[in-house]
Amino acid sequence: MDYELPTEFDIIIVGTGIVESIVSAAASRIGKTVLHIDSQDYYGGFWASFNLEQIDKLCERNQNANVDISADVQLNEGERLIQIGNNNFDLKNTSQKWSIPEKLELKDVSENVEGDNCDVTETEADNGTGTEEVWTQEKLMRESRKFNIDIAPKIQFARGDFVELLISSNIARYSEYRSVSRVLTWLNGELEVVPCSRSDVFSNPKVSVIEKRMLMKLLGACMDSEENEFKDYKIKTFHTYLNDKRLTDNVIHYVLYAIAMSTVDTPCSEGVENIKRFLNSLGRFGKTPFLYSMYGSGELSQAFCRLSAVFGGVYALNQNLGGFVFDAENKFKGLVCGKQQVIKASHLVMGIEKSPEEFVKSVEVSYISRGIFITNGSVKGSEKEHLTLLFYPLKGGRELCNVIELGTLTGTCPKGIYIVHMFTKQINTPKEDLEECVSKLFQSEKEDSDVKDARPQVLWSFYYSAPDTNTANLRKDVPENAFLCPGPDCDLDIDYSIKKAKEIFNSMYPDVEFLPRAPDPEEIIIGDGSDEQIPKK
Amino acid sequence: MKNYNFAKYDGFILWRCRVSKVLVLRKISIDSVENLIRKKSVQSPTRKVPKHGEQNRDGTETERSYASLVLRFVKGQFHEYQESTIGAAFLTQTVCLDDTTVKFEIWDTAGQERYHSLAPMYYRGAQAAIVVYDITNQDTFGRAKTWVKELQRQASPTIVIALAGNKQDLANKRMVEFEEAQTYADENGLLFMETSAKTAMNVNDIFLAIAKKLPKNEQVTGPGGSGQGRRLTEGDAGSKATGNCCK
Repeated sequence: MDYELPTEFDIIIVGTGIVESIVSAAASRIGKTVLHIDSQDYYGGFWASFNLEQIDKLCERNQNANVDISADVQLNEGERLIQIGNNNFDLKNTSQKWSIPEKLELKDVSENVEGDNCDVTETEADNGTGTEEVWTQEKLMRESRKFNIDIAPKIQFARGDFVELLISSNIARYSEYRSVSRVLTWLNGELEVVPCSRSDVFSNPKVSVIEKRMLMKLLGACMDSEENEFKDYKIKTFHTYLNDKRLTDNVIHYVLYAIAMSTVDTPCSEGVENIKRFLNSLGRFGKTPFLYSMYGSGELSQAFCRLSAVFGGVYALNQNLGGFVFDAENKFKGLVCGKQQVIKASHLVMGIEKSPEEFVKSVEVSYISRGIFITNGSVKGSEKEHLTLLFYPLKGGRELCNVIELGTLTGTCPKGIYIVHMFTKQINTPKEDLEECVSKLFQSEKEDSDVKDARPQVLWSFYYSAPDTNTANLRKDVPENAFLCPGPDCDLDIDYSIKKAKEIFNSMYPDVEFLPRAPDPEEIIIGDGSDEQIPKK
Repeated sequence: MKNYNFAKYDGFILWRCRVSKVLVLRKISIDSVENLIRKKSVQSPTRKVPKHGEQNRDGTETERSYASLVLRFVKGQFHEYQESTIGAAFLTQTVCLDDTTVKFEIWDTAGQERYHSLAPMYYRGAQAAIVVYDITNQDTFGRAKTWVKELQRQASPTIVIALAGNKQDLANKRMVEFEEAQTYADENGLLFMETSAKTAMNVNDIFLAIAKKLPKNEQVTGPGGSGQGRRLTEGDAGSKATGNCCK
């Protein structure tokens, strides 16, 4: 028999996305009783990572699995039961495609002695001769569990709010990260390495001596951001500023599209801020300012959930949720779990996709065009495996496409395989928005056997539009003691989500410290009979 | 060198166990014992697990027996009535093995398994696991078997699994025969010992046996090593001056 859940908590959190998980950790940390519940059977919601089998079937998944409308509970006078979940924030324009055969053709199989030894023979041959591996759907599916494919990939700044929070709260010890090993951009029809550090700048053969000086001087000016330097650019773009500095096109390109992660339309002040953030994060954990979480971005929310659990948070996934109970004053009273159990709490926090329709009817949604590609090689081959971040300017620099390429060392795919994530603000459809970048980086679909194409081949692709609810007002139409958590945004990092989580936490518990440092294992002594003390910072 | 740090598995685990417990161990470094200095005098935060009737009795029982085994190992202490679970992410302990020492991180499931909601993160990089059952309770042995199956399915294929029949000091109330457990362990390639957190019997031995069975890994996988990622710590925060673009 399963355990029945306890019947009363300080706070109920529905959904296991990043924002929900951070709120959960923060509330448990200060001693609040937390029920963290999800109708899905996995952690992460819109922030999850999936194996190949799961992501291949993602489109068939019902977003509101396990939402039960047949609950039968006794309500008090004035109370009403509201159904959980809405369909306003589903993934849209999904399109998935395999570009490799399901199985090896018959003649290929017969070359191997026995069907079962197929795998061994192939890999051995591969190691020995270095011939290109032949991938089939069947073969990739056999390695399905080695995949951790993000539906909302994220890269963190080494000195960004996320990393600082992880360290200050002592959550950092739960998970592992990898430094992004190179930053690329698309310049003059080629992929070029962006010089990140002083030594990069000076050792880069594509940057002339004069350009080196220009670049260093410019970055210095941005870092100091003297008032005089930028006083004429309050309403001008960063691009204008760079042009006025009479820099070479190459330097402008590196600074604008890569270091400042900007477009030709980005305001000057924002460009300068971005440069500062980039430079501040340099030299902390690796050669670039960026970090990626091992085993996928889905791990991020799990780390916060773990802290919540360690401090007493109750975790229940894959639950049948029967509805929310609100009283006559439109105050949240409880959650119906299963058909009959009502679990009471004074606060409700939920992922936006779990919200009843009536709270989100006026929420405006914008979309992010996303593409995921499984490939058989790196976009820019090299001796050692790289974790690559590429800023690709689209539409003549009016938009920027973020590209993240992950190899097997990140724990997200098997050996010999790469996962490439692309995302940009949606303008048309994901396919149309990303086409320019896709056509440059990968072999074209129509194979031209005469010309040897060195670029990687796409084995599987998945395009979709992901909702972005971060600019919407999520307090409107929502009762006082209930809070909505937005899904992923189009930023590279999750710093904005941390800000949102903190806001929600502070609305519920003003003047309480947000995620104070958790004690180290060595600092804990258990049961020596004296009174309990709260660990001091 | 074979890289055994790379545990990979599916996402979602649905446990059906209440009493038996799993400890996951990570061999994190080979280090001299002197480096392991423990600070004192900060106490565990109170865990507030809401009471829920009869079932909780089971849960608390186990957590106690699990926690006591770890505590006996780490601190050499045994407490009859201790906090149900340790209010920490994990504990660390060092085992001396010939001329080297193996430092373990011992991870707790933090209660997430109670409603079948253990996060996949729990298995990442796990090199060994101890499945604990209570020799005075046949049900716990059954659930221990379920844990073993889950570990074999979800964790790294090279994981070392040890089965610990705890509460050996209560052998007169025994419900699980030694031979039965030994046979099961042999069939599944598990290390097996009966332990007592109360009398300290076999507690060090089981950890030592695990340390011996772990694949020798000469190359210490520190931050940025080939197979493992890095843990982010303030200590890594190198000075901003070196390698920086500006100034």
